[in-house]
Order: sequence, then structure tokens, then C-alpha cells
Amino acid sequence: MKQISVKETIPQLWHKTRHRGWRWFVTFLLYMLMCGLAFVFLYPFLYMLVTSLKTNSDLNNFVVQWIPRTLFFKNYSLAAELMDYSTGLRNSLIITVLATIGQLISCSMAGYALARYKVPGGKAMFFIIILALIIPTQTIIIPEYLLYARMGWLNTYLPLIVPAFTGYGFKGALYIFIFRQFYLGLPKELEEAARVDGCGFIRTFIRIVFPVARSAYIVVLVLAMVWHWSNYYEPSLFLGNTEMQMLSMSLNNIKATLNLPPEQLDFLYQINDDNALNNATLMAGTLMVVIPIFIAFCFLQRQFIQGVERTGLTGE
Amino acid sequence: MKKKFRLTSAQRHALTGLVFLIPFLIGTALFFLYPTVTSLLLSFGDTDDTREGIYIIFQGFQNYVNAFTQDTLFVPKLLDSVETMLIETPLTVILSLMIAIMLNKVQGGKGVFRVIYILPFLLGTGDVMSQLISEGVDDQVLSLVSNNVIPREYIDYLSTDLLTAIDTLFGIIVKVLWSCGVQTLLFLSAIQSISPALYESAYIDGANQYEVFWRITLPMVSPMLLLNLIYTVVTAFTAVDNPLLEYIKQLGIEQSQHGYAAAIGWIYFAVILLFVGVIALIVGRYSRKVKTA
Repeated sequence: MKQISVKETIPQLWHKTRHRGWRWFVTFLLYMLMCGLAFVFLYPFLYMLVTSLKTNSDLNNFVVQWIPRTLFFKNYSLAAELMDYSTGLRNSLIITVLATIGQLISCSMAGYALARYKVPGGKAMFFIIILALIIPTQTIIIPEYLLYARMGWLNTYLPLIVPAFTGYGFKGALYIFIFRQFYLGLPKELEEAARVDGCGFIRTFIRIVFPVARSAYIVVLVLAMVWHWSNYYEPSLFLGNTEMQMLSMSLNNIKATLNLPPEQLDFLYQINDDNALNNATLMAGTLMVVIPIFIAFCFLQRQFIQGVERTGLTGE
Repeated sequence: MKKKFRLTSAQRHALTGLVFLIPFLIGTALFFLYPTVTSLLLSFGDTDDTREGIYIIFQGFQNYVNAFTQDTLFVPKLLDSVETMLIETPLTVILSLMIAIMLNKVQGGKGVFRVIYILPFLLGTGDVMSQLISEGVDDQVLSLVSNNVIPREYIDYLSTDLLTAIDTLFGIIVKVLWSCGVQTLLFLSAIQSISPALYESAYIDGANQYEVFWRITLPMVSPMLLLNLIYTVVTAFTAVDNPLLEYIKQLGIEQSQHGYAAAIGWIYFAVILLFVGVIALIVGRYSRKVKTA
């Protein structure tokens, strides 16, 4: 009788039942598919980069699809000028950084309390969070707008930052939900041990809970950062003033200039000596909107992806 | 002797919890309950523009009736966004689950693939994405007409109508792929938390890949399936190219028809709630069945 070696693990056993060539073929197909998909995911970035470096004649030349004949960097300076890049960058940075910090603090506190403490009305609060998650912006935007208008908050950073410090703001309920799920899955014993050793609750939170929960914080940090950066609907309502524009809104300036009637284009002809204002300018602008968040993501990507895998959001 | 005021341990416990919840409770009152309740009241009337502040003149169900009987723009826009949601939600969930399974299978270069697959998430949901979509970049990627995937001579015998239809379909798929990064990561985290022992015992019992998927992977990720479905429905309804977002902004803020805009918002919410409810019912029943089986 044939003996099965103990050393052979189960997956190996399973694989032996299949033809080896077949397995190689399947792996090869899988990689082909993955690379094809990777192309789909990289395409928007490649498109933006390539188009942003094209001259007007390259844009209209169908032979030039991927490699521009000359690298035309003037698109970037033109786009920056039209978008008022430095103002937009300053506003976007202030709003994104403050709102993200606010949501990290307030959402983690709320999520922690809902997961750990038997609070009166805890169920009702959880219900409110789910409701806040489902109610679309459209439904409550009108009273919000009227409220901020009455408080004189329009055209200031406040409507985008203050709600974030109270666990609301853009997608705040989702972050509370994520933190709650995370803390539910975290063993209680650590904190209990700290408390037995005489550690107060604020110190427990800072010294014991926070270090363990780092991965959850990084996940929420990246999500909040990216979403605040690219948020468009609310800023476009609350920040009408050009001085207060966020980068995510400033693409409209280029589009508006592109669509100007020809008789108003006089001032453009001065900066526009070789017909530079075109779709390439728009793509240069788009890329410049994405670049800051792209750089930030590069620093955090490894921890972010590991964090998502570890956070163990089982959704139960 | 004065009796010292003391809390029981349970009360102290609850109080500590409430301390953590203070900011959230303030926010709930100010930025959630107040706008929600006002919006609901507003939808049954309109603001009194002659007075400072928000005073509401009630008109009963007039706004709701008008939305369906007077407004020729609203119903088509609503149907349009429901249609988009109905197409995109199943596609998003199926594709993100498939991608998550593939990412879980691949060994070599898995870090690189994971980063690349999450990159479109950085384009966000705002103006950048809508700019790319309006330029037709999503259609271009897999476009048959522009020769990207299959050389022209092989598809020349197909009619142009069919080609355009296929291109549109590919466009939708690409758009879905670009926006399914979060869902993919959530599925990936769910798949990785499944115990390998389950798979091993299934393979010993002679199960094949297909059976393993239906009997182990899918039931084990079903709680995440529910979360993902709800998340996808909600984001599909608030996506940047959603026609109603713009419409409510136009009505409520530019034309100052506050009450009517609020009413439309609530009709919209009712539709969302309907879909979320149906999904929660079906998936919830499925995962309960799985648990008891």
C-alpha cells in the first residue's frame, strides 16, 4: 500500500491531483489577467501624464498616442496660473489636515466608547450612526447651508472643519463604524490589566489602546485624507469665494477659461502665444490636483494596505 | 455627618463612556439631528423669506405631490440615478470580490499589485474623476474602436451599433473598476481572516475550487458582503456624476426653493432606504441560513 508522507501539506496533495502543466497554465493566465487589470488601473494616471505634456499639434495628431514629440512643460505653468494653484493648495492643505485630525480624534473616541462602555442610549446612538451613513448629503444639505449662512460660516473653513471635530463631517459616520468594529474585535484584557495596575482611563487610552490600534488609525487617516482632498460638492456650496477655493474645485477655472467666448479671449492671447491653452492644460491641472495626495499616499501605502488586512472588519 | 456622594461602579462606567461621547453627542445634535429634522419639516412647506432665520410656512404634502405631478425633470433624473445604481452595484460587488480573490491567490509581486489596484481611489470621487469620465477616458481603456485591445481587422465584420454598445459596456466596467478600491480591500481583509483549516478540510474531503468558493469563501465573507453592498448603494447614489446632486443644489441654493429641494431629498432618501432594506433583508437571511447550516 502506498504511504502518504506526513511532510506533504494538504495544498500540495491537492495540487498533485492536477496535471502540473495545467497548473502552470492557470497561473500564467492569472498573471496575464492581473497585468491587464493593472493597466486599467494605471491608465488614468498615464493618460493624465502623457496628455499634460503634449503640445497643441501633438494633441490633434492621431499618430502621437503615447509619446509626445516634445515635452511641453508650459502646460503646467499655464494651468497653475489659471487655477491660482498656491491659494488652492493652501486651502486644501488646511482643510484636509484639520478635518482629518478632527475626525481621527472624535471618531475614534466615539467608536471606542460605543464598543467598550455600556452607555445609556448606546443602541440609539448606533442607530443614528447607521442612519447618518445612509442619509445622502442631498437630503440634509439645504438646512445645513441655511444654518451656516445664518452663523456667518459661509466662505470660511469652519463648515468643513468644525463638524469633523464632532465625529461628523465628510463620511464621519463611516469612520465611527470602522473604529467601533475594530475595538469590538480587540481583546479587553489589555485594558483591564492596565486598569488593575492603576492606570486612569485617559492614560489607558493614550498608552495602551492607541499603540495597539495604530493600523485602524492609519486606515481611517488615509481614507479621510483622500476623501477630504477630493471632496467637491460641499466645498463648492460653502466656499463660493475664489480666495477660499479648494484645489478640487479649481479645475473649474481652467474649464471656464476654455469655454470663454472668443471675443473675451484677448487677455489669453498674451499668455497663450503658441496656442497652448487646450485639453493638455486641463490634464496638467488635473494631475497637479492629484499629485499632493499621491505623494502623501506613497508614504502611507504599505501601512494602509497592511492596516486594512489587519483591521479585521468583519462587518458583523 | 454628611454622606459622601458616591456613584456605583456601573454608573461610573457609563459616565466614563459618556465622556468619550461628548463631542459626538454635540455633533449629533448640531450637525445631524438639527439639519435632518429641519429638512424634514422644510419638506412640508417652504421658508418664510420675509423674516430672518428659518421660519417655515407649512403646506402639507404639496411639495411631494408637485415633485411627481408638476416637475418634468425630477422623475427622469430619479429613474436615471436608480438605473445607474442598479447597474453599478452588482458589478462593483462581483468585480471587487473577484479581484480580492485573485489578489489573495497571487504570491509573486503581491505588494505591487495591491498598491496598483488601490491607486484609482486617489482620484477620489470629485471633480478629477468627473473630468476624466467626461473626456471619455473610461471608454478609451478597453475601447474596441480605438484598437486598444483587439486589432481592427478582427472586428470589422461587427456592426458599428454593436461596437458602440460593447464600448459603453466596457466603459461602465472600467468606471466600476476605478471606484471599487475600498470594496476590494474590505473583501480582501475578510478573505484573509478565513481560517486555512477550513480550506484544508474541504480539500481533503475532495472538494474542488468551485465548491470551495460557494461553500466556504462566499458564506464566510457574507457579513462583509452586506456592508459592501450597502456602502456601494449609498456611494452610487451620491456619486459625483449623480444628476440629482446638481439638481438639488440648483433648486435649493441658486433658486431658493428650499422646501421643494428638501422634499426631493427625502423622496430620494426613501428610495435609498428601500434598496438598502431589501438588500439587508436578502443578505441577512442568507448569512443567517449559512450560520445555522
